[in-house]
Amino acid sequence: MRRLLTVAALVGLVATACSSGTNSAGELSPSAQRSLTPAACTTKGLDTGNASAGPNGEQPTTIQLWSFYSGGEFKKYCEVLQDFHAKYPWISIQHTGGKSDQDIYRAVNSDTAPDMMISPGPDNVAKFCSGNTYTDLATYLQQDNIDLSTIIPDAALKYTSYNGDQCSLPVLSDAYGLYYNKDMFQKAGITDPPKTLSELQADAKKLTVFNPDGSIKIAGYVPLQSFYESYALYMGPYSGGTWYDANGKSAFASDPSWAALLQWQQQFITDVYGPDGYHKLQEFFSKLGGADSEWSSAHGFETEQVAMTLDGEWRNAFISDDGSDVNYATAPFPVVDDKPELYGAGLIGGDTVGIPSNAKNPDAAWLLMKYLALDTQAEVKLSTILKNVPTTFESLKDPGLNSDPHFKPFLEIFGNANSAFKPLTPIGSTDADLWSSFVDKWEAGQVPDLQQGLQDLANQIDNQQQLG
Amino acid sequence: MSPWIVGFLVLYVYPMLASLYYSFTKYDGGKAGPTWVGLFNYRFMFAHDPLFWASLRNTIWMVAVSVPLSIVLGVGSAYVLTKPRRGRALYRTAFFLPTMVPAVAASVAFLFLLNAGGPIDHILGFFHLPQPLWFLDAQWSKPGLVMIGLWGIGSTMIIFLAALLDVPTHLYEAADIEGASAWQKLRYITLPMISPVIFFTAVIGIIYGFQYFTEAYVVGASIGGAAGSSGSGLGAPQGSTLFYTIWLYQQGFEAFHLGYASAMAWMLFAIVLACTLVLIKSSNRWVFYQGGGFR
Repeated sequence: MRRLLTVAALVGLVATACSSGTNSAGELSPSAQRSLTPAACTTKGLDTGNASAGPNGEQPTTIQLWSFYSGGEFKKYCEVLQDFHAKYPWISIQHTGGKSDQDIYRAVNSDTAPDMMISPGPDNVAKFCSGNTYTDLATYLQQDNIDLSTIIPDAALKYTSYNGDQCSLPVLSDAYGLYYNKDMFQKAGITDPPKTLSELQADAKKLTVFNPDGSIKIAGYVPLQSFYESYALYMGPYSGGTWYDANGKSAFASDPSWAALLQWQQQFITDVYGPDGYHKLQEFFSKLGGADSEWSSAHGFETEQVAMTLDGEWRNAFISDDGSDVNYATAPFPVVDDKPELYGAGLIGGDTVGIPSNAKNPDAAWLLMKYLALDTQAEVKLSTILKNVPTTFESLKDPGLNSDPHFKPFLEIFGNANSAFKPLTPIGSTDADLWSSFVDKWEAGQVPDLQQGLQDLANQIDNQQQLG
Repeated sequence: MSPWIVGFLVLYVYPMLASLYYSFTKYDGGKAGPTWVGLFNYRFMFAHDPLFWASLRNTIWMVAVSVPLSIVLGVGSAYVLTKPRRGRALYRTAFFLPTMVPAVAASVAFLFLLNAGGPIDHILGFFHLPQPLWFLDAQWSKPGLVMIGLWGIGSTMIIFLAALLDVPTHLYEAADIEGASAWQKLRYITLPMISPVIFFTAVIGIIYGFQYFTEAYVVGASIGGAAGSSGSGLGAPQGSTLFYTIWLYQQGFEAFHLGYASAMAWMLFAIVLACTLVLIKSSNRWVFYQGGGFR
C-alpha cells in the first residue's frame, strides 16, 4: 500500500506541478528524458539450467546492472564486464545505461531494483546509506576479510559512506587540477606553474591580453564559478574551507576561509581585468560559445584563448579527441597563501557503486562490485579506456597510467591526503547548489553585505536539513 | 464502470489525494514512509524558504509578461494571416512551424543564437542597438525566455485565426456603410467578437504559465551547470530563471523532499485556482458572447 501511495504521489506531483514537462508540444520531463536513452549490453551467459557451471557448482545467475553510462562510454564499460564474465563464467550481466539516482531510488522503493547500480556521483550516498536504499557492505567485507583502508584512499571511502555505513564503493573518480599553456608561459617568462592564489593572480595578469577596444583577447585565468569547471575552486580543497561545523551546522558564515576566498576572487577580477572585469569576462565567455563550448573543440583552453584553467583529468581526453594543438601541462591547482600545506590536493569524486537493499542476486552483485572497485587489473583497464582516475592505491601506481605526464598529476591529486569531496548529507547536492547560486550573485555584485549574505546562506542550508 | 472513470480515479484523483496527504508529512519517498507533521511544510514555505518567494516572483513576472504578449502577438499574427489572397496555406504553415519544434531543441538553438558574437548579436550591432548578454545577464534572461516562448505561439495563432475568420462579415460591411475607421472596427467589432477566445487563451496561458518549466530548465542547466550535480547554480544567472516548478522539481526529485514538494504543488494549485477565479469573475465585464451579450 505504501509503495502504491509513493508511486501515486510521484505521479500526482508530476501531474500537478510539472505537467509542462508533458505539455502540448509533447516534451517529457527532464528525468524522463534522461531515461529515454537507455543502452543495453548483455554478457554471453551460460545456458540456464547448467548447474555445474561454476567450479563449486554455482548456479548460473544473471545480474541486472544499471548505470548512468551512455554512448561510447557505455560500450567501453561493457568490455570490462565481459572480462568479469570470463573470470566468473556462471554469472551473466544485463547492463542497462542511462539510469539516474532518481531511477534507482524509485526502483528500490517499488521493489523493481536491479542487482547493482553505478551512480554518476556521491551526491546521494548519504540518502542511500541512511535510508537503506543500498545494502551496508560490512557483512561482505567482514566475510571476505577486506580492510578497505589498505586498498582505497580515505577521501574516497568518505564519499562512499555515511555515518560509518559503507554502503557503496568508488569505481573511477574525477580529480581536479590546473591546466596551463606552456607556450604562453614561456612567452610571458613564467617558469613554473603557480602554487598559491597570489602566484595565480600574478601569472594571470602577465598572461592576459586585451583587444584594442578593451575586451579580453586571451584570459589568463577566469575565476567565475560558472566558467567551465571553475566551480571546483569554491568547493573547499584549495581554500581549506569547511562546509559544516562540529554540530553539523553550515559553516559558510562561521569559517572565515569562505569570505576570504570570495574577497580574493573579487580583488582578482578587478586587478586582472579592470573595474568592469566581471562584465568583460561574461562577454568573453559568451563569445567563446558559453557553457556549451566546454564540450566541444571551441573550449577556450583548447583554442588557446584561456591560458590557465581548472579542470578534471578528463580534459586530457577531450584535448586529444578534439585534435587541439595546445602545448600544455598539468599540475595541482594553487591554494590559498596561508595554507601552503594544502598544495597537491584537489576536489575529487566520481562513480559510486551500490547493491540495492532488495537486490535479487546480492551475492553475485558483490562479486561484480569487488571486481570493479577492488581488482587492480579491472581498475586500470577502466581508467585506461575511460580516461578517469582509478580509485585504489595499487591502480594509482600503475606504470602505464603514470607514464602519461598530463595524467600523472591527477593520480597524485587523488592520492593526496587533503583531497576531498564535499561532506555528504541527506539533502544531496542542495547545499552545493545554494552555495553556487550565492557565489553567482556575489560575482554579479548582488550581495551588498558579504558576511550577512553568508549567514543567510548558512541559515538556508540548515533549514533545508530540517526537511531531509 | 467505464475505462475512462477508472483512469480518472487511478491516475488523477488518487494521486492528487495522495499528494495532498503527503503535503502534511515529512517524506523522502523511502521505505521509512511518511511522518505526519501537520502544517510544517506550509509554514516552512512561507517563513524559512526564501527561494519559494524568489521562484514565485520569477513565475509571476513570466505570467504577467508572456501571457499578454502571446495574446497580442497571437491576435496580430492571426490578423495578418487573414489578409493574403495567395499562398495562405504557405504563410500559415510558416507561422505555425516553430510550434512543431520541441521546447528543448528550441531552447538550445536560442542559447546559440543569443550568444555574444552570435547571429542576433550581429543584427543588433548592425543597427547600433544594445547587445545584451541575454542568458548570462539576470536582467535579460527572462526576456530571452519570453522570446523563445513567443517564437512558438503558432497554436495560439491558429485559435485566433479561426476566431477572426468566424466574425460575421456583415458586421464589417455595416460598419463600412456607417463610415467606421479601422480602429473603430477593431475596437467595437473584432475584439468583442473574439473576446471569448481571448478569455480562453488567457485562462490556459495562466495555467501553463505558472507551470513554466522546460525552457528555463534547459537554459538554467546550461548556464549554471547540469541540475542535480554538485555545484549547479539554481536558476542561473543569479536565480533569475528559478521558476516555481523548477524549485519544486529540485526539492521533490533532487533533494527527495517529497512532502515539501507536495505542499508546494498544492500551493501552486491554490494560486492558479485563485488567478483563474479572478479572471472568470472579471470576464463578466469584457467577454462578449454572441446571442448572450456580456455574461
